[in-house]
Amino acid sequence: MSPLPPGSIVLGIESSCDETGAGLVRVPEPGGAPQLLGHELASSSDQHARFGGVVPEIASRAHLESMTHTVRSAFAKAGVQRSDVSAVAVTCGPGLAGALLVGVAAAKAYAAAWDVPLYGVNHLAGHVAADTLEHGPLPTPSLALLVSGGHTQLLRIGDLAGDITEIGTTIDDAAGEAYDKVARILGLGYPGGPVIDRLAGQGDPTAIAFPRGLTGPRDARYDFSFSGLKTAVARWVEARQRAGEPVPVEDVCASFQEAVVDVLTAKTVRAATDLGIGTVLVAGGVAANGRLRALAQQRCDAAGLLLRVPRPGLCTDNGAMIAAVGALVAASGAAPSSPLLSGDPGLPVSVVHAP
Amino acid sequence: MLVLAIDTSTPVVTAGVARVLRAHELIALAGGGGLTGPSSMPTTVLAERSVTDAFAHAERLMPLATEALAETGHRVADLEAVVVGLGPGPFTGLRVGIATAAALGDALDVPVHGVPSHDGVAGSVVRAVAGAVGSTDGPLLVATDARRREVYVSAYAADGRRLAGPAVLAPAAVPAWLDEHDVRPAALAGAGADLVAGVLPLPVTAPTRPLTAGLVTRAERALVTDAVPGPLTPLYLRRPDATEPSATKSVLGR
Ligand SMILES: [Zn+2]
Repeated sequence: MSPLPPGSIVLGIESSCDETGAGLVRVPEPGGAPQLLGHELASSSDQHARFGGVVPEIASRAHLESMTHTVRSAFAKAGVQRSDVSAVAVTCGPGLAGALLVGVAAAKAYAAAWDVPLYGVNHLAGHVAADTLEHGPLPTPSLALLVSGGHTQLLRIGDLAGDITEIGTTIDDAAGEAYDKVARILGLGYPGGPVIDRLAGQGDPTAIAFPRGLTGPRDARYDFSFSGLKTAVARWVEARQRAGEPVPVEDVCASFQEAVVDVLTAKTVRAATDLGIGTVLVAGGVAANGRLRALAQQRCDAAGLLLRVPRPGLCTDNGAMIAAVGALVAASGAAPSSPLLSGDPGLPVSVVHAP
Repeated sequence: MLVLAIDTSTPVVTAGVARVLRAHELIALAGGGGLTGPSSMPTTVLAERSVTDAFAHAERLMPLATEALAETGHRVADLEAVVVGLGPGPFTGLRVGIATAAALGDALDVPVHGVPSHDGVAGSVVRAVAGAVGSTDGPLLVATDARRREVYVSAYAADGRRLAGPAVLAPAAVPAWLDEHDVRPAALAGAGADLVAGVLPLPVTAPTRPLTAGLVTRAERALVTDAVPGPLTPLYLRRPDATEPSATKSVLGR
């Protein structure tokens, strides 16, 4: 396959969790970053609220309901015609199996109807690529901390179109998942991130000494664990309630959040320093967290590292980030995905685009 | 009118291509003395591809559609309408067909008509179309596997009208459901026919799955009159499995 020429337009489709996304980007000049033309998002987040987490079947139903409207709206926002599209990219994993298949099925149909190549791409690479839409090409190599409801990973980015290596990951809960569970313990509703971030601002982060997972001298240097922290919060709150004492919600939020962002930023800076990487990127839904952004900035400054964080609108799952990966992959001259492309819920991060 | 028919409501992934004649084309055909036999019907099936793989609907559907179109000398872009089975059926597979049909319609700006998938079975049995494969002298019960020891059922009159359903029931509850709707079927069809044969000992007729002929003839009237398609709402018939958690209990696992 000859590389897609600069200026070509790529449609990206995302449906791996509870956001249905469609985005349009332009293929960059060699060494450049894709240009965002427009994107649209439909979320089923509200429908999951009373269940305290994403319900896969509800998410899948919502994707089917929103898909074509979302694509149509992305075109309208981008101000481009369907006939201008030169390739379609779609999240083929990792993610919820049934949710992924809605996007994959739709993307295959769009690509076949327009007779353009289809690229199944990695959702995690998408989160990293989102930042290039705002801040330009990434230096090689870069280190990415990916944090959301579904993932908590440290990635070494050699080349966004094909060279991504996992340096560390969570061995149990994702950071965003811990936020949701602590919010449930405190009766704060779903999703937990924004409300805990807000209440934490009014509390004392040193009030309660919650554990920092996997930070002992013999623990894995770059891996994360949040399950113990979540349990510690639950036990602390329960003990208070059993003693008939009021629960200082703001202090619990602040102390919990501090434990999370302390470990995330410390391990990120440590990995960048160990690996001799000068640029650090924080991406994913939790990258919108105010305290995480502030502490990451403070620690990167102290270590002489350049920090990049996309604006909140590009941190959450979206179609533009998928189009961006597709644009970089297509521009590299990589072969399109097989007509037999399907979803792969456990797609490893090293597979940036599906063969 | 070149029409693609899609169904993913059963473990069988089906994609077929049909030609549907508009009113003026039928009249021209009649004037030329061609109005005899199956070709006097508006719908002619040109090609059909299917594969049985309950876990590969997304993988196989679009390639099957492309192959069926290629056999007729056409490309996806030549399509003028799409007909899709709306279920009932296992949700994940069912959505693949509907998502594909909806995206094709949007991409090509052509109408997409949804039909209950059981209609696609019944339509091939009771109506004399090119490609009809079964027969019955009386009402027909279509049954498919709903898992969890239940079946999806729909009842049809001898002329193909749907009298009741689709519904989801335990096989043992089917006779009472038929009584309730005052239907006395003469035959069974569909992939779940054997699941109700125990409580309803009737002859089983083909087919076991929705066929292109059955699906397209069900949408024939809407197609030839350029009717505005209704929403492509899947026939789930069941709510999503989801339970509301309580606070600390679910977190501490006690
Ligand atoms: Zn994500």
